[in-house]
Amino acid sequence: MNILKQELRMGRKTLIIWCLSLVGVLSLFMLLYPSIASQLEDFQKVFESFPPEFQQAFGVADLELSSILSFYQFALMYVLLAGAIQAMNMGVSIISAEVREKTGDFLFVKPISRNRIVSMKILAVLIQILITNAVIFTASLIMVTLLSTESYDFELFALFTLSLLFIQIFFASLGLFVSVFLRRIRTILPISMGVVFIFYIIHLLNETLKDEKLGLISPFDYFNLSEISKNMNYDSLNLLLWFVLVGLFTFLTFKLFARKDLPSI
Amino acid sequence: MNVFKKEMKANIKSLIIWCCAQVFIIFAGMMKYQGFSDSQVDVNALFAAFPEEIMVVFGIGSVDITKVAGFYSVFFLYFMLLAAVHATMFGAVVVSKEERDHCADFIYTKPVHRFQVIWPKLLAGIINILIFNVVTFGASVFFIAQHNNGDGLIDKVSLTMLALFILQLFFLALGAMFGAVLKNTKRATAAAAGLVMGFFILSVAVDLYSKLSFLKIFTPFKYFEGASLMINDQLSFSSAAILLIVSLVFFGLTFVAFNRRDLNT
Repeated sequence: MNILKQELRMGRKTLIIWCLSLVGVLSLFMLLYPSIASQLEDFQKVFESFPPEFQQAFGVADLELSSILSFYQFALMYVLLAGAIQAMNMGVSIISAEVREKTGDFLFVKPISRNRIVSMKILAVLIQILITNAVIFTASLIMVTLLSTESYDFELFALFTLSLLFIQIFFASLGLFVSVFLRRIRTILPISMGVVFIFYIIHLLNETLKDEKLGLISPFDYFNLSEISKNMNYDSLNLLLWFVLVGLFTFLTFKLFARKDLPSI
Repeated sequence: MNVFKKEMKANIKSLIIWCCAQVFIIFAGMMKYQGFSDSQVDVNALFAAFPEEIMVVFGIGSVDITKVAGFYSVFFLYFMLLAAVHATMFGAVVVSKEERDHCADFIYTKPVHRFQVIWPKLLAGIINILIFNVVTFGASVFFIAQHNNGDGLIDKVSLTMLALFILQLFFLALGAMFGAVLKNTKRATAAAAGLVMGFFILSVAVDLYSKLSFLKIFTPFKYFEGASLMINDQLSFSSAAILLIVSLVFFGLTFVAFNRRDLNT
């Protein structure tokens, strides 16, 4: 319990900065919506005038550009990208910080098992992720409601926004695994930025290529927003894959860390 | 010379990982090109039907992605993103790592001027980004040639890589400056990462809303366009000049700030 409290206290400032910047990114894009909304309606008309084959070829067949959610979907992508970096940062740093900052000598000699320490730390990450999601959900709900001129599909909105939670949990567990897998981590950001951006670029690439195998590599594709809006649900295969991978990463974190040789001062 | 060798050795592993990721992205991207060139026969006629604003918003531009050069030009954005993360993080870490690892006491008490420590470090950075660039070049030419009857479009790709290298240099200088000015590695990487994300978000916002185009000058991601490099063989001279001058200023600031730095021991 003390570990959890201490972790939350130490992460508070970073958490606030992250929440503010995520809301900032979201509002930057959403504030542009009123100025380009009329433009988007024109596009919609042009697309509808296309023959169906053309619509298919460009992936605009079921595009509802005039709805605010299609624009929200676009804006949310960048929140997902930044949120993934935040989650991975937390995952990589929370265990490795003890060794890096040479505080492990004090924590790991306490009469509690390593597994307990790890579970408390994972719980702390989870709580911070939940707080971030609550903030983003509220902020985007307010923005979408204020900016939309007509009613929108709340269920779809919720599905979109909740994908942030899934993606953050994925990257946090990946980060935890990486942090116990590597022998020693000196700086966190190069690792988490690198990994997240590589996955993001694979996702971008797959937007054009639409390759099924490539889609299995990048977690951003597990929660592909345009697929979600088409099916009104998450893809069950991808969801299963998500569960398996998150479970595997968490299991390996416990397993590897329990046997890890920790250097001391 | 010893500092240079040491830095090269310390970074060889991460450089290999970065290069592998880059080669994979080029490989995965070009693999699917065949499908594009076979399926869509007369794309130009299709594009003629589009109003110009739509093409700009959807980033299609005047690029014919059924031609190999047009298809490849889309990759330039991905290269920029990965190269930016790699170069900035390298710069920020390389300058400040001794204090992080508590070995500044050893290197800066050697009978050499601080300048003689810092410039081999930056040289190692330049060699690292150059290797990353050359690997990208090699992989691009190789995979393009496979889909283009053996013609690797060497001159077009080398122009693109020249633009990429100028950007890499800029980001390396940016990272190094943060490393020298800010108090520790953690802050330097965080600030540099925030700025790279900011540049990226800004470049998207500029694309989205044409009235913001005056902000283009503030984001390096908008200095070169993949399409004009690959198709029109044009490298914007003013963009290159601005980036190089700013990089020089940043490098200069790095030296000045580092010389006056109060080293943490």
